[in-house]
Amino acid sequence: MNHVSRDIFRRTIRGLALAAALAMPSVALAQSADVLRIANPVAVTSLDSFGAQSADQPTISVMQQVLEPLVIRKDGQLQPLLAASWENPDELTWRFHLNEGITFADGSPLTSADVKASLQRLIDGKGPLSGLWGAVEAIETPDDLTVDIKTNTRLGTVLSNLSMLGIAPAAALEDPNFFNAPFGTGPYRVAEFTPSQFVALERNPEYRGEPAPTARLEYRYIPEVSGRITALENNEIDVTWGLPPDQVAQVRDSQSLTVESFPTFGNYYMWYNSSREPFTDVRVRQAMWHAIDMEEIKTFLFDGTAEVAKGPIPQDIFGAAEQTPYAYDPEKARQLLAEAGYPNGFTTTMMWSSMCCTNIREFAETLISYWAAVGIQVTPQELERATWLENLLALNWDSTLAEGNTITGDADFTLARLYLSTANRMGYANPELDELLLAARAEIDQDKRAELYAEAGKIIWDDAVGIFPLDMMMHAVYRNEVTGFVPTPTGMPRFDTVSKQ
Amino acid sequence: MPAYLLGRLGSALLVVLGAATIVFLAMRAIPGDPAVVMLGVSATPEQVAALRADWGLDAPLPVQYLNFLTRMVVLDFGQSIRLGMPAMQAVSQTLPYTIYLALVAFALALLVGFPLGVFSALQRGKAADKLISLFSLAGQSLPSFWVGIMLVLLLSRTLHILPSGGAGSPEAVLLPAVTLALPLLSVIVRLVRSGLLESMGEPYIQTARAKGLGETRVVGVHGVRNMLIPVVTVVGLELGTLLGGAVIVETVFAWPGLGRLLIDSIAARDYAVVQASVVMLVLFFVSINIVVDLLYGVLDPRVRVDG
Repeated sequence: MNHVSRDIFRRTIRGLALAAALAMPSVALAQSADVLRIANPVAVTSLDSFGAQSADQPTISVMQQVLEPLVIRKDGQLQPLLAASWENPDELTWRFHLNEGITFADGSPLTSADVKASLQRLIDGKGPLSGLWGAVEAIETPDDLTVDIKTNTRLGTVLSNLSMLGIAPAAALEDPNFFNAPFGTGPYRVAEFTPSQFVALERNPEYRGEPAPTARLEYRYIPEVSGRITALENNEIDVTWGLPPDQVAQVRDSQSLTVESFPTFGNYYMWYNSSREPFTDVRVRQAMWHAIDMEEIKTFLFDGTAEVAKGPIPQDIFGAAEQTPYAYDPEKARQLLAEAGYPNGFTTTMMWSSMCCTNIREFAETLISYWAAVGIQVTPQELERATWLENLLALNWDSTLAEGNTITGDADFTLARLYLSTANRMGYANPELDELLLAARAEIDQDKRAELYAEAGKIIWDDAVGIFPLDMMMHAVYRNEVTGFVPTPTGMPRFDTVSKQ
Repeated sequence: MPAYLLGRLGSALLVVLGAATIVFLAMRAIPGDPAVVMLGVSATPEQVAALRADWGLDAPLPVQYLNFLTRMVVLDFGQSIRLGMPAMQAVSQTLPYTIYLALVAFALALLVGFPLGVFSALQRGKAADKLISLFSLAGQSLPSFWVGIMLVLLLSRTLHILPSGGAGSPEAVLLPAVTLALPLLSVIVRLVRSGLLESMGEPYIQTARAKGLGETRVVGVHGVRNMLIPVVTVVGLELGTLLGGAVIVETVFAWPGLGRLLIDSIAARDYAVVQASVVMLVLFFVSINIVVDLLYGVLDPRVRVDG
């Protein structure tokens, strides 16, 4: 080695050593028990829970700890939270009496004006939840603690809709920068927010209830599942959720981690375009359902991490009722097809969005192979979400596989939004079903509403408007030192009861 | 020189305008509608129409295009539908991360690749040279998403030396930067090695030696300087490619850069952010090319253009 190359070699080594030295002081950062480090599976792009993101899980899951609704859904029941009570002075009016003495994190008192401003903002935002409030004619504030919501038709869904509306201070809503660090009456307030990257919540000093056990919640976005699990095992984060079934099995074996699986308001559904041949015939729709062994799919494709559906919406939702299952019976499927005039099956297509949900492609391919066994050739069409949506709304498809989430916990959210013939989402039109759904929406007596949805659900199920294969479960994983985690069927965990030992 | 520079800037502006036009048209040509994406499965025609009117998407295409161009002059790309903030704000929050990542990767590639290439050339045919050649071949051939995942597995999951992703700590940049740098580093090693071998065979090297210059000066001044032009050209172009490669690497390492913003915004048909991101990337790319062109003149007086 001559002296030049030796010199260069030495310099190179020195450079590498420097780089290595830079890398060393990592990982072993002291972690305080007062900070809970959370990794979202989906980025929090905005904290504005009144606008474009009002139905997005990441936004809601953070903001539900910051803004509180008038009524809250707990253990399947709607219970008062900011509102003390409510009544219907007439059929078109919902009157809410607010609790006295509640203050926002900035010390200002909660008044009816804040409720009005919040609801008005959601409606004006024209976002995905604004449609729930289409019947609202006026929001009135007779006094500081009373709010009247007046509708042009009877609206039975007001309570469950309100459970999705967190109340923000009216004055602050005027500030365009409010959603960079929003606050409300909840146990936490937002301390820091970098869109798509990081959210930090701190205890709200004005919170009227028991202070949350953990002083600070930090949300980081880690898109890759493997990255999230690595970060958990390396003690870089404390908790995450949204794992696919194969990862759940792997994580269960870990000594340092706990997995919790629980039912949600989400399910898979497969719709037929009932305005197209051959799906105009109910026998064809039922035949394809009988051709599928759902237990087998649940066990082997989903590793037991989903439930075979018992209705068009999961059973924990208000208005859900258990239906008669479609047995796996290929013989019956062939017979129904023959009766409908397709003894040799037929050819069709099924589309889905690549960004839909866990296992979507494997699931679709499995369904397609079951159908092939009874003579139905289904061409798969995997599309990007925006393209899929455009086709879906234009009814430009034969059948589609998708995921639904009844985030309000109320059957109306899914059944009446999507299955009314006026919505025309899947080419199915049934005046009897329309009547039931509209009557349920207009029914103020909640018990009667539930009965009407049960009837509507039976029609959708028996008429096989679609196949309802599996209800989704949520899998949360946390380090063993985490305690107090409470499962939430919305699939959006909250952490105001969680602490670290 | 000023005339040359002006011409160069003029053609650069044309490139930016062309890119802006293409991205504007492409976003509207592909299927999918931002209002529909935002409203989801339950979107009604009335809701979609109301949103499109709010966002000015109901105006005729030429009007939208003119609006876009006139506002682009002052770098105003409008409001992001998805994020509820000015598109430029979203870009300026993420672009620095991408540039930082690209620059660290670039520095790594240069600081490691250049000496390795010189060393390899001087060791021509020996074991060290062969080892380095093998390394650079592998570095160029392995796809970066695979390298990235392997690095996480080894350094993060098994050895617990580095964080697996994010930009939460200063050293978090190292894994994505190494992953991103590897292909460029390999190119530099090979270019420097072959360039130096070639120039070391030229008569002026013999002359330099005959003058009695020390080997350091012969190699360092006469050898290296004369093979710099191709290296600078390729490296300059590759800096643009680094920005492109950053998109994949950013996803693997959860790096909060422009690449990820761009991908998410395309999926949401967030026209404003896509347009802002692409135009800013093109501006960056074009600026690098101008700098590279100007560097030629510094490195080799023969290509200097007089105005």
